[in-house]
Amino acid sequence: MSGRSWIGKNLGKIIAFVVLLAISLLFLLPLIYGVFGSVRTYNDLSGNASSIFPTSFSAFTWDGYRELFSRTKYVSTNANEYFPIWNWLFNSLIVALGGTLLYLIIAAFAAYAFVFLDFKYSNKIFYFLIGTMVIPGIVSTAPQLINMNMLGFYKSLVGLIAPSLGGVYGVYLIRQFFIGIPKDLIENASMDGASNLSIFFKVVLPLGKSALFVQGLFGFMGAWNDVQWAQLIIGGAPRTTWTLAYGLKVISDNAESAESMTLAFASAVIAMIPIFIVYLVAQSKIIEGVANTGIKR
Amino acid sequence: MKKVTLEGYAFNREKRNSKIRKTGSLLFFFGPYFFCFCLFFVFPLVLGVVMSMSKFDGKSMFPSEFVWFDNFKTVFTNRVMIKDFWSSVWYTIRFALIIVPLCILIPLGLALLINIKPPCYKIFRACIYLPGIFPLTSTGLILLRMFSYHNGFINSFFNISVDWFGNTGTAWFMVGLFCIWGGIGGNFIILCAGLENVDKGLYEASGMDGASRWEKFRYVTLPAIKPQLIMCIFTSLCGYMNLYGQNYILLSNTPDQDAVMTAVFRIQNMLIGGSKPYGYAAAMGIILGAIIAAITAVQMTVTKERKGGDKHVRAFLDWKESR
Repeated sequence: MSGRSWIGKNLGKIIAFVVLLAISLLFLLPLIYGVFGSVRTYNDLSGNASSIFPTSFSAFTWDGYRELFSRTKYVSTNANEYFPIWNWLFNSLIVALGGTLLYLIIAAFAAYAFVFLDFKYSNKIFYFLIGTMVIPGIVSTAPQLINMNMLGFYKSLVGLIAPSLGGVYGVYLIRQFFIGIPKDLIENASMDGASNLSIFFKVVLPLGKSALFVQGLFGFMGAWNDVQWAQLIIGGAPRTTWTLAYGLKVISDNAESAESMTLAFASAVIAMIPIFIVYLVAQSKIIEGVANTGIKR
Repeated sequence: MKKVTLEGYAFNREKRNSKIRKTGSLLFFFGPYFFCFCLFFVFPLVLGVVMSMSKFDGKSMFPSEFVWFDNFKTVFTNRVMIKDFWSSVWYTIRFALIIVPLCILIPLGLALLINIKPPCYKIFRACIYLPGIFPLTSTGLILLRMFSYHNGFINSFFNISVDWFGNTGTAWFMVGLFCIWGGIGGNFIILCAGLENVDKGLYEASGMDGASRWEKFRYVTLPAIKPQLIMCIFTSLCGYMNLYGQNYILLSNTPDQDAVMTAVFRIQNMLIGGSKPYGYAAAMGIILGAIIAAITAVQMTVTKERKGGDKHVRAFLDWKESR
């Protein structure tokens, strides 16, 4: 074995490196194309279509972003290209951040109740919750829409947040994490006369932070990216109540003309930025979270 | 009159107080979630059953008449329904049968390469996972421009003129490409983690026994990552039976809309359409849900774990014996 050359010993690694490099570039290619498309003049984009990058320095332009942020006023002659993007950004943020935080609070409270307040039938209720996870979501899509209408949440952002509050998966995940917390800690605190609320905030929450964080990340990304439910709830509402991910679809549908092409790329990039920031900050946590769903069964 | 001692009184009172306190904290901690779960999860399921047996007058969102199983009967027997709904169910199943194996095999291949741990493998892992985290509308918009018929990057670069989104066949191909590009990330990460956790000792032991590369993969790696594989197949199957976003985003300009509609797409269209056929939509939702449950149940039985502990160790021993 010792006689083999360096290349011979590392041949597998070299091949893996080359193949993975090629595939990674292939996976990144459309994203790179999109990002550069957003700062590229339409003439360059269509004239030198076989290039991913702007072909000359003069082909760089911020017009896409400028155009996008100039369509925020409603003009009746150009109603199709009315894009109130500040509203969309704000709405997306409300739904993604507000909805996720709200769900984290009630889900963590419920998980605490399951683990530390041993109440009657707690196990049975928990297994019932787990059991409901096998019901495909499409079964409740139509009735959920009617339900939202009855509650007065139709065509409003509340209708986007509310259904996620009944979700089971977060409670399950957080409960699994809370179970790992030693019961002695809670009993000691309880002996010292601490109330459940202060035990929750002073003992359980600091220990269970990472589980909440991971659940929060996925909640945020899911809510930010949602199009399907948004189409049902706010698709018929005035454009100022849309979210960014849904608004993009309309921009995309209207992006055939010369000036709206760069604008469309710009809007796609803007919708990706918050998610990309989250990914940069918490990349290892996200990957770990996905990996754990496969390991802990 | 019954005599009550002071101790007894205090004891009973304390007991009652602690019970009240316990119920109070249970209400405080579990109440909000339980309320939301009932209102936003259980209630819609019940309502769905009622809706699927109700008639809607096409104007309001409230049922006008209770018709028992008429909606289901119509979905199964009406000519238009059979053409529209059942053909899209069939398209969905057919597409899932093609895409699910790809969404297992491609990530598995990539995960095996990552598991060799070449330099920068963490960066590669992050890159391959990246496209899936963005909104489908963003990534879809980019794909639409990239594969655009006029002056699209792909057509210009390869000097071809294919109308990628215009023909039914290439349109489905594009949906598949979108699913692979933006959808394998999760499976890929799960399989990477699974491979990482394979007992290294088994590789060494089998290496000493002269197992070939293929034999190592077949008798050590595969049994060890079976739980992850099953999970990936399950989630992919569920996911692609509910396929909607990719078709909705990429194919809204495809001429033959009927040929590119998935089952969920049909239901979604009924819900946003003008005629408000909510009864049929609810019935279709239940039927599709039952189909999905049946398919995944078949999959789980086929791939079920045999009873017993260390499967991969046993598989390895089996292989040794067989030589």
